[in-house]
Amino acid sequence: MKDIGTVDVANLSVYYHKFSALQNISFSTAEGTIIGVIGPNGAGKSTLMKAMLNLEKSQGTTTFNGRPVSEVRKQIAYVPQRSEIDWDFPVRVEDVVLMGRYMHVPWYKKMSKQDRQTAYEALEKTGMEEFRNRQIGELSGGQQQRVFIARALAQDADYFFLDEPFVGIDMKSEQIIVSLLHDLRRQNKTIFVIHHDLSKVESYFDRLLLLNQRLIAYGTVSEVYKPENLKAAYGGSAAVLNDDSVVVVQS
Amino acid sequence: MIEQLDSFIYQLMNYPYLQNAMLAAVLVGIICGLIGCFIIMRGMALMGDAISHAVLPGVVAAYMIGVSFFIGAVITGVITALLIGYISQNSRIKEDSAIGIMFTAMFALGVVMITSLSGTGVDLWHILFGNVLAVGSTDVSITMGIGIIVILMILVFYRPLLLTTFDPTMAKASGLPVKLIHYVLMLLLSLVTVASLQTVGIILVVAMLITPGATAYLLTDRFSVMLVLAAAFGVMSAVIGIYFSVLYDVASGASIVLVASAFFVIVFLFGPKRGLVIRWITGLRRQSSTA
Repeated sequence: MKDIGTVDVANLSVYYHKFSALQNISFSTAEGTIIGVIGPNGAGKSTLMKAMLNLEKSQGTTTFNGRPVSEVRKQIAYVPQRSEIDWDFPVRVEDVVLMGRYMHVPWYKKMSKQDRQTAYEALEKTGMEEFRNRQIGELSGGQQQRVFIARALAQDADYFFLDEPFVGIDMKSEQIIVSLLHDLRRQNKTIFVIHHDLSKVESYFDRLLLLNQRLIAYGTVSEVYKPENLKAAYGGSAAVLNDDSVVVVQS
Repeated sequence: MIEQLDSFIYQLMNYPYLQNAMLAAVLVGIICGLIGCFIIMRGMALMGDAISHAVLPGVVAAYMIGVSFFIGAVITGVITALLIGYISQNSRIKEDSAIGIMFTAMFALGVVMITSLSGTGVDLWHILFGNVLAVGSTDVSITMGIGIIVILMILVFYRPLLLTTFDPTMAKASGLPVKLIHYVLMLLLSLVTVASLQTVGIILVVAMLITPGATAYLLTDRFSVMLVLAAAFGVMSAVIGIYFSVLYDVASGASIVLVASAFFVIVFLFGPKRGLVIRWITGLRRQSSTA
């Protein structure tokens, strides 16, 4: 098995004018891991993803299996926050999933049958094939998210970046997505997931990256998911109930 | 009505100036409709307005030094797009304000240049409002050339254009040169504006960019279909607009734009899926079925 999925982040910092949004983030991941990125609002979770992908001006380095992001772009699947998408855009489910194949087809070539087949299979995996001719705005939140997951699957990438995929979606969609992410892990892919709350982190993720402008803690879920870490990240808004449960009150 | 149509067709067959006008207007209808779809879906209607106004000083300067005004217009169009980008990225000024500053400045510069040239052949009225009946055969070939470039670019780069319009973050993440594509689109926009100068004029170009595309947008859920419909509405507006312009002897550009606006109103009211009337009827039905 080739070593595809290691990601190394070293001294990554982001500044907006003089205000620092991320300070000196360093961590490394092994292949075949699902990393949950958690932290309070404004902690810089999306900024971290964008900085790692060089979509945001940053200092420091991120390498993918030893290579800079510019050499592995085709292998990076990105699922944006649902709020970033114009749901009235005149595209159908099928069109969106096909976009996952765009980077693999040279600009002068047509999409091949194989590309369409790959896209269709991705739709099947997410259970969205019967909706393939719908305009994306006609779907429920969970269905919309599954379409974008299907696009990421169709891309056949090695690295996955999902920005808050579980916000405002139904239980069925959430379960489908989680089980697909676990499939990807078995194929040795590396998956970063920004997660908005602390529920279910144990069953969803292998590792947690707890962020609040700086890296509070990074490691296995049991190493990170501790009251002292959460208090350090969430400040006064974290209330520790007893030994192992923490409630976070988001303002 | 039939008589008037007959007489119009007779004139069209016999007068080359009318043939040129018709051909130019049809081409402008197509390319404005096509580029307009991208402008609309990128939320850049104001940018379209800006670039179209900003070509004025370029047109006048080109006239002063005696080169084709296409060159002057494209240069000022692209410079304006670059400056708008520079201002919004390097200060706290937001893009819409940067657009407001830049295009009025360029437009004012153009007006000052024109008025200082009084007594020469540059007719401000014609540049601002177009005069399609004065289109010569060279103009038609240039418009044709621009049309071919625009259509080829859209056909060849359809996928990158669609992806950067729909999901720019994913486009950037997967390695597309999003900024370059933006400026290529601005270049095409300048070309289209210049091609439309004589047909509808600087002031009304934005209508030909936005209105046919917006009408198409109300009718379809597929971007490729939207492109075709927008071009079709552009062409129909051009043909019908010129017909009325000849029939009633009114300004051709404004006539074309009014026809395009009429199409929009009809589709807005009576569109089969999202029309106001259909939505009103289904709303009534829903009410009566729950009552």
